[in-house]
Amino acid sequence: MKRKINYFIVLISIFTIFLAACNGDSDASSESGEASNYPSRNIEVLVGHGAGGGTDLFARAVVNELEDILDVNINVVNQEGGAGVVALQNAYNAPSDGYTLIADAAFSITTAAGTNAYGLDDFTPIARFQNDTYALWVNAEDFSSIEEFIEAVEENPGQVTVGGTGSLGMDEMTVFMLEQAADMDLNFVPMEGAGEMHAGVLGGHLDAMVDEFGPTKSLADDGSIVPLVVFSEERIDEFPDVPTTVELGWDLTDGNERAFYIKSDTDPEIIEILENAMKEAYESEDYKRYEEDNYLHLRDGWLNSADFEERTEELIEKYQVIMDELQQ
Amino acid sequence: MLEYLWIGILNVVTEPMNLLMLFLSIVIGYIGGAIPGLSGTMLIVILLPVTYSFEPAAAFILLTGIYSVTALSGAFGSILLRTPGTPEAIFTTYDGYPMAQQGYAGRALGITIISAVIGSLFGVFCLITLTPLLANVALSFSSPEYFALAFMGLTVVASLSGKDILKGLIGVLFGLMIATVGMDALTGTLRYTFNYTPLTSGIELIPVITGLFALSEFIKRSTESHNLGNAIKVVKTKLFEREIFKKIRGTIAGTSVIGMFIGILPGVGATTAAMLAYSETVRWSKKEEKDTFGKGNPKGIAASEAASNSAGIGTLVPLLSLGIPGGATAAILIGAFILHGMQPGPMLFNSDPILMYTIFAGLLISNILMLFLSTPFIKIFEKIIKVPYSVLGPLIVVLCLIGTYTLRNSFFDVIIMVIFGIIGYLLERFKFPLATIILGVVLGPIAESQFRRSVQMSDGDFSIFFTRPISLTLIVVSIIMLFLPIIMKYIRDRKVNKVDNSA
Repeated sequence: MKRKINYFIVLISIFTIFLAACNGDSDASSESGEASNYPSRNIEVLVGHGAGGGTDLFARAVVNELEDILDVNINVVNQEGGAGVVALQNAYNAPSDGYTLIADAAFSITTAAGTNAYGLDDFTPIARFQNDTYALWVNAEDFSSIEEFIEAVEENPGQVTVGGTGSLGMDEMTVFMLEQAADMDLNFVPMEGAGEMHAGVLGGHLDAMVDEFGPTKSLADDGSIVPLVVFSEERIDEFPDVPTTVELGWDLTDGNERAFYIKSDTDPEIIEILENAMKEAYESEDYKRYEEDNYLHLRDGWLNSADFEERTEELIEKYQVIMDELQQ
Repeated sequence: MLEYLWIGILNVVTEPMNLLMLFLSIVIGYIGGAIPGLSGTMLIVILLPVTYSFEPAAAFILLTGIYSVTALSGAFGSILLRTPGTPEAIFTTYDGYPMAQQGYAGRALGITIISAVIGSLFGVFCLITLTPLLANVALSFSSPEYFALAFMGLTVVASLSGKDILKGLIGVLFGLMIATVGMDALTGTLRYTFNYTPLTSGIELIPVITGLFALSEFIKRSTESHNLGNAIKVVKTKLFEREIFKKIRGTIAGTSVIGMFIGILPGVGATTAAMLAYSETVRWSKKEEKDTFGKGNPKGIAASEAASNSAGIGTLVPLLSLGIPGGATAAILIGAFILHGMQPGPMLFNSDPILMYTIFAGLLISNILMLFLSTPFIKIFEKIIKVPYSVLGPLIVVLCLIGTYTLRNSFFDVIIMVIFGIIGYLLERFKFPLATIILGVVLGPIAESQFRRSVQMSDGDFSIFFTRPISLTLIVVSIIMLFLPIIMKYIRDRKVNKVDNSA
């Protein structure tokens, strides 16, 4: 009897896992992706970044809404590697039937750096959702204003350390652009991840870091770290005393722009269906709440396919120049 | 605080949904972790969307419960199939698998569970009482200290390489070489990628481990004869033997502390914790006992399990107190908090202490329950040993292939796994200590990138390693321990000589 119960427990648990793992892979009809009945089967969203990171959370928050709007199952698949390039490559190898989308934050950067072999000829943006805002953060005990910081940099040129995550990514470019715009000589230290970077600033091992407002929220609310300057045109309601780069005369408002992409040779009607659905998702209450919870609403994020394609083109050109200087 | 904990416990016990989640987390964690390739990280990612509609308390009891249970159940595969279910369970393979092959699978599983549960409970105890203090300790560590820690880890190569130190050194260097493949962490330069995109993100630890240990074992066993008479005779043992426990209790205590300490550091992780705990246990063991490691020494299992479980809980310390994840799974837990509209960190402790203590209580109770619920799982799992290898082997290969693929949904990882399977088979034939390769693969990236990061921080000044007290201490201690055996031998030889001369 006892033995039977044992087997029963194990059986139930195997069953539970399979249920969870399958999570809606039930209708795998393989009709061709004609626009008239699109979407007729599961859609896959490839995320080129790790689970739990900013881009992954963005993809999951949008997918949550899209599933209801399109009335279809959408699976988020993390394919980490090469700052999103691996996912782009896999998407490129998939058919252009509209059932493989990519969520990416670094498309213009990897294209500019040359690590991404596919440009706007191969992929078309469907919509941009977020235009995230950077700030320069310091330990509250070290500096209280950007003037103090600038003074410290002038006294110790090349000695003041500024952390960012990864190398040759948006963080490093931002610090580089900051150095140029503000004529500062900083020492950029590429950190393994946001966690190590935050610990570095909290523990006094890094003088400053560049990061967005979402990941730093808890530490900022607690008062242990403070923003010295916001990389945007307008001040932020939550930090009314913090000056912006534009106020200081620095032409630097770039941030991570999170968007969905699809293969360029997909049926334009399908792209339009997706674009409209995404617009609806962008305006949904749940998505707005997620944005506000994570300080992603500071700048208007929405750009439709055509507008963001144009912007991406400009960004790639701009970043190419910077990358050339960085890689020297 | 105690008051909050009491409320937390009541919350878990009286709310049927919470209790159900607690039970589910154990069951899912036990099975999921035991399946090679289905790691705790992946289970949490899979279950995350399911928890959207839950109350936060129920959701986090489930997720943190799975997190804690898989830290243990990953060892089941290590012991029974030589196929670690999670990367940190790799060090349980060294002694767990030989012990199971000798017929004592039940004993190995019993040691695993008791060590893991004690390690975890110690971790939860520290989490509840010492979090602010430990968070400060974690913050005093930066790149130079991480480098020193990795350096210390690399110096144990001698104790892991058995009799042939030269082969051990070659193994470490091979591991370090594997670790250099991919995009350089500091300058973004591509190394050994041959313009092949999948290589830019480097070679992952899991395909290497799965290939070197699981697949190579399959190749080896395939070349052996398979008549059923050779099947392993299962020796009946009690799950928790007093004799064994007496032997390993010191190891469990020591390695739980090591695990906790490594776990709270955001730059390392449970795999490194298990590795350091294992090798330190070997290093500090009695001379005559040293040879029994890797052949089924219960202390080896206890060290690896107590440390990796206590480290697993340790990573929650910076996560909950500072919002800083101490490892990959912790990073996903942060994502889970965010998707539930919360931001883990100092504010959450103030704004929602009841939720925090409910999570703590959940961890506490689930670990105690784990101990009691483990019996049916052990009883069934230990029978796996009796399945003829001609049936079990192909099944393991299928699991390895699926597990490696699902890691990043990448076929490239599968190829890497197969290549390392062949490498592992060949190296074992030449009696190569595979453990040293893992040492290089795990510690290589930490040592290299943290060394260079330190030098970058100090703007090219190497004294940064010797002017910081923690880093200096760690480096000095590791150098002393590296040369101590040689010095001791020299002194002993001289004494012998003197005696000889005077005689």
